[in-house]
Amino acid sequence: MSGAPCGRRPTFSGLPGERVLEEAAAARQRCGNGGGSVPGTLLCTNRRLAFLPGQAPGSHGFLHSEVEVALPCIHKLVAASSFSKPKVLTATSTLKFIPEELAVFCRDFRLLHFYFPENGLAPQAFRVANAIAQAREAAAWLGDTAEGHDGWPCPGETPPEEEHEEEDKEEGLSTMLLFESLQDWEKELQRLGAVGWRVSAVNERFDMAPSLPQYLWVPSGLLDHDLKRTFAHFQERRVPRLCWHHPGGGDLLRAASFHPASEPGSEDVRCLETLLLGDRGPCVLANMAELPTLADIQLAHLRLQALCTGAVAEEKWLSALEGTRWLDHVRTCLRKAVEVVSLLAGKRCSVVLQEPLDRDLNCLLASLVQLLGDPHARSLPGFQSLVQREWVAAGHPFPRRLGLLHRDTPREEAPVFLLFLDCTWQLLWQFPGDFGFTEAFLLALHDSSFSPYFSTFRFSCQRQRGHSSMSRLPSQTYRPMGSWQDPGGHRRGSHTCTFPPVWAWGQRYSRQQREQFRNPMGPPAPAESLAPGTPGDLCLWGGARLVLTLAKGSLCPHPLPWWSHPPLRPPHRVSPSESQGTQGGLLGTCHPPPGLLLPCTAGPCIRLWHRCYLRGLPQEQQRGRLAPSLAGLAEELELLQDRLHAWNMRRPH
Amino acid sequence: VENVRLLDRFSSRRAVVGTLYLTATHVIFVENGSETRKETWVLHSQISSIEKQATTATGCPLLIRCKNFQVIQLVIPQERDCHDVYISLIRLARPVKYEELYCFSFNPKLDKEEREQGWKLVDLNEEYNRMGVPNSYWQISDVNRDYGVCDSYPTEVYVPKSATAHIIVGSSKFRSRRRFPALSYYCKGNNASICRSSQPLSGFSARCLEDEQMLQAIRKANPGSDFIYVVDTRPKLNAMANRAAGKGYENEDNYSNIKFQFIGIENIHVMRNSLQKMLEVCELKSPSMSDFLWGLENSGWLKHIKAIMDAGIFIAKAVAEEGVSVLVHCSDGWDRTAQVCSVASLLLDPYYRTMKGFMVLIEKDWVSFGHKFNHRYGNLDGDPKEISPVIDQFIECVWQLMEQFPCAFEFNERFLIHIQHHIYSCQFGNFLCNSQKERRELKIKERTYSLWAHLWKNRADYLNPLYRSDHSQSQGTLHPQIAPCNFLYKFWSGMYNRFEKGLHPRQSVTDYLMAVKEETQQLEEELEVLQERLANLQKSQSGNNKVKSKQEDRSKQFGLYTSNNSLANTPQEYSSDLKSFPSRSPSQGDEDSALILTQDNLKSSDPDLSANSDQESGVEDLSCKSPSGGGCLPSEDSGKDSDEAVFLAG
Repeated sequence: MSGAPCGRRPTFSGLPGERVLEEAAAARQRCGNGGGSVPGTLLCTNRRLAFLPGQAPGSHGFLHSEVEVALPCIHKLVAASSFSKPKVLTATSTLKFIPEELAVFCRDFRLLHFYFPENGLAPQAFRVANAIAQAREAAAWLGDTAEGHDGWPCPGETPPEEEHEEEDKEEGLSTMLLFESLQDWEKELQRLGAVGWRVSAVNERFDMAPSLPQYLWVPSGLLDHDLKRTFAHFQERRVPRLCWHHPGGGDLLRAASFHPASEPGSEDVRCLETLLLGDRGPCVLANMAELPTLADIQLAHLRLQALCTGAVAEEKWLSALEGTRWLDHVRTCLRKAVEVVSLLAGKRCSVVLQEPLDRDLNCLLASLVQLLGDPHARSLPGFQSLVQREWVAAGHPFPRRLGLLHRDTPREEAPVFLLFLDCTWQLLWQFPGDFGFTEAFLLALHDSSFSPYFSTFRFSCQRQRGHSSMSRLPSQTYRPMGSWQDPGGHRRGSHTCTFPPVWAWGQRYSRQQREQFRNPMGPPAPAESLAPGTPGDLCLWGGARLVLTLAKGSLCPHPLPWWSHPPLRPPHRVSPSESQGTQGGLLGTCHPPPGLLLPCTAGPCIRLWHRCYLRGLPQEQQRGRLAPSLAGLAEELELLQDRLHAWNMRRPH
Repeated sequence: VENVRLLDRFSSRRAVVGTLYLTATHVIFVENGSETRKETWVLHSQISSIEKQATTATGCPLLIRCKNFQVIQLVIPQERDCHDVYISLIRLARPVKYEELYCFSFNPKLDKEEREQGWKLVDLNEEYNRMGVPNSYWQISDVNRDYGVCDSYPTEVYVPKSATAHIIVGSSKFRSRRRFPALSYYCKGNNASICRSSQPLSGFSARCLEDEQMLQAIRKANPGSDFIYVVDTRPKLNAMANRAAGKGYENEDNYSNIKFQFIGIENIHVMRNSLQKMLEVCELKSPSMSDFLWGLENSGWLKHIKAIMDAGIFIAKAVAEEGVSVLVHCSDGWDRTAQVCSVASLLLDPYYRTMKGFMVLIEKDWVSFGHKFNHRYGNLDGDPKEISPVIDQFIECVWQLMEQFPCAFEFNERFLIHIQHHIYSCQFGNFLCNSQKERRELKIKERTYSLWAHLWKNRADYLNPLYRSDHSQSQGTLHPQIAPCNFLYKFWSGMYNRFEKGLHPRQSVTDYLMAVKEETQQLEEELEVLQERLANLQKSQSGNNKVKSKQEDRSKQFGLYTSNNSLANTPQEYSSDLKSFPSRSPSQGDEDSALILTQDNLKSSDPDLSANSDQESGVEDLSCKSPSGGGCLPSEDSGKDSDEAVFLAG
């Protein structure tokens, strides 16, 4: 193991550079409702809080433990004793009494209870509780700048070696695409079969748009030289680019909104229109006006957290749940995605998702639409690739949105990614057989987003990641491109600390646990090639230069900002009629084509993600993320013993 | 009537045009055009209300609401036709005489003997014997022979041995509608029992010696405990109000050794209104999140379900854990008492969680003890104030328990839904009338058929694939959550929105599992046959005469084998996945527990199946498959396997 000074307990394998600050042996963790508990050791390190069950059979695996919380993930720490009121611990208000019990409220909705039997270990309990409170404050939070992760002392070690034997078996990693290399982009574009599009390396040095990925999918007819003219006309220079191509012909693009100060000249207009419209038929601009704002999402999430970890009067549960608005937001996002995918599949037009900065809800919507429309995205590697492309490479500012930054204003926090995971869960719940992964996988991903050990969620964009450290997978499936190594880069050579991507599940989960990530039935065989959508009525009026906006489920013509007059007389308003609740009228009356999921979005169909949000409640704890309950284990044991007995009986004859 | 349009709730676009027929028993709507000519059949007895709405340009809309929560919206082009349909439906949906009901004309083409056999499927005498009575504490009483004491009770009633006829009759005079305390459930293990009755006529101060002796006798029938609980399932306020009418509840001071307990379940009128409110939410065209959640909460429906569950849990706990007998009553002892007794029995006794046991339970606690099916479910035209979803609530309680204990019930949701449907449909005679007495007078058993036989015949459709009789949930008492947690009781869209196909998940894990399970079973059977043949072949091969011809034979078999294997890939993938899971909790959720179940199936029934799962990969593997067979013990089959391998190599 690493040389980190934590070798005192053979079973605890720390992260590189992790130090144990304090530990209390013979602590007990409370399990479930029935008062059962597990003895073990409670450790506080400079990175996290961990509980090592006493009788665990050699819990190897370097991050693997059900009972460990990264320090930034601790939401609230409450100490209680029979002599004193429960007290919320912070770095400044430390403990004045010896705690008997410690409750850790986690931001991922877990609630851990530890208590200390009184056999002379009380001082340890006191020290450990204070240490956690201090360490949580002192724990280095992620910096958002290239140099920002000084707080993580990196001794320059290679990642732990012990996982190598399993790496090759790691499903997903070998087949998923990280979208860090040109090949990945080429490969995926080929899979989509998007003729008329090419990979452009115009942003290879991040000089065109710093927050965009290095490679962009743009129309083949547009030369890089022309493409360069368009950047200035979009906020943060985030130009429209292809996300997904429906086999029937529809293209999904995403972009930031038009820069308010831009006044494109005629040459620019030509380039812009080639990029936006091409000759692909009508183009629909979908803005995010109906979707919740970042502030809405954050507020809803905070309320949901309060609701799910607190006590609510029984009769008021449903209205309190409604009051969080979280389910409403989930529903809105799903409905919008259904509208967009119906347009793509049914009307064969291209849809441009436009969000002011193109870094939050565009990520959510672009990936949801693909989940609905692309069976590949519903396989485990496909889903991982999707997140990697539409979120990580596309520059979703994870550190800010997930609140992993210390000094930033809290206003920037908004768990858009978690909202996306919830939407995905809703789909999974409605179409369990269409997904290659399970709820356990989503939960693992949900929880991982709060722990700062993974390169995946540590950076706001590809450029930043490139500047601060190079992530290298042990499996060597990914090799950074030699060609783009920037001589002026700030990489630190051997002193960089490498964090694995979140997708290296083998480092945290045992093979058995990872088995649970996969749908035992497997994803369905890829559907036969999708029938091309009918060009439909949209083409009749306007042909290639028709631009429409999608708002409240209906389409209406809309000029591009640089058009002085609408090119056509405003045609009849397209109202896709009763797109109420279920499948939008946008698709027309025909049956949904195979491979396309059209979830029901009426109120009763949106559920609360119990296993995720209600994990903290004692009565739900037996359904932990992966861990079987004690009762379950005992029962299983009994069953196995019975069977063994039966076998032994059978054998003699 | 032709050219009628049937509207879809979610979009007026998807209306279908067809022809509406009215028969003596059904409303039938047949779609035009489409090749399949989809038909919608609705029994007249299912219709709960018909509403004629204002005529529009397209025609005259007619809204039919059914008791099984189907809502049908028709548009009839001519107002005259619409009116005719409306008038005839009103008449047809409200029969006046029992003879008009469908069950008297329904003929499933069974002969007399089969019909009798069907009625014998559920036998209450057998059931009481199963419980362990009569015994030294309980005996069957003939006091109600010819319904002489209580006309809503069955003729055969179990009472404590020490209760003489004098005590019973005396007690019955002190109880509302003479429904004296009688045995509902007896717990063999600890002699504790659940008895049921109606409220005492105690008023403000009245006493009755015999009634006090009756309760004492119940106490004595359980020598292990020195008191009994008397559970009044009404809210205290309602019980107090009854005192003014000369009824009321037991005074603890007058009875020796009782502990009195109120459990506030609201009356039938509150329940009816609550359901009404919830159904309004269900009927919303496109409910938003807040419409739905607020509406559901304001209806209070789930709160009422919880109250019934709580009462059942309380009683089950008293009986199982404290070993104390319980007397349950409400006002007349036929609504809330039936709900609570049956929920408690269901929690206590795993037998009632099997398909047969559940039929017995309904027969015992509802049918025989005079639950007023006719009044509550409006089979005949009657007082609308008597209608209330009492047994619907019980059925929902069962469903809520199924959600909490997915492995505990032998039957599935469909079973419950079909029972609910037939309680209203009057297609079978089981739920006709208000009491056993009325049913005997009508000669129901000779003139109609039994639902239980019908369900039993189709029992394959109602099996829960997750059920395992050796699972801990399938044994002993169920302990549902009692800690306050609201999310425990869920909205049952499978029932209340069951006709809104758009609202349901498109895929059912359970159905899939059932298919997998069936396929596995088929394969096992096939395997057995093949093995037999193989054994025969080997036997004759020992003579070592006709090797060549057999080899051909064998390869033919093998071909058959592989094709089967590739067909049924999935169950085998299941099993091989599972081998690496020694410690999975069966209670983790549907999928997980199902996996274990499949594994069981594979392992326990036939050791060879898991060993043979490698066959697909080729002949070479056969020689080493036994050790790689995972959970299989290398017992007798290893010998067989190597034989096989040798055989194939040769």
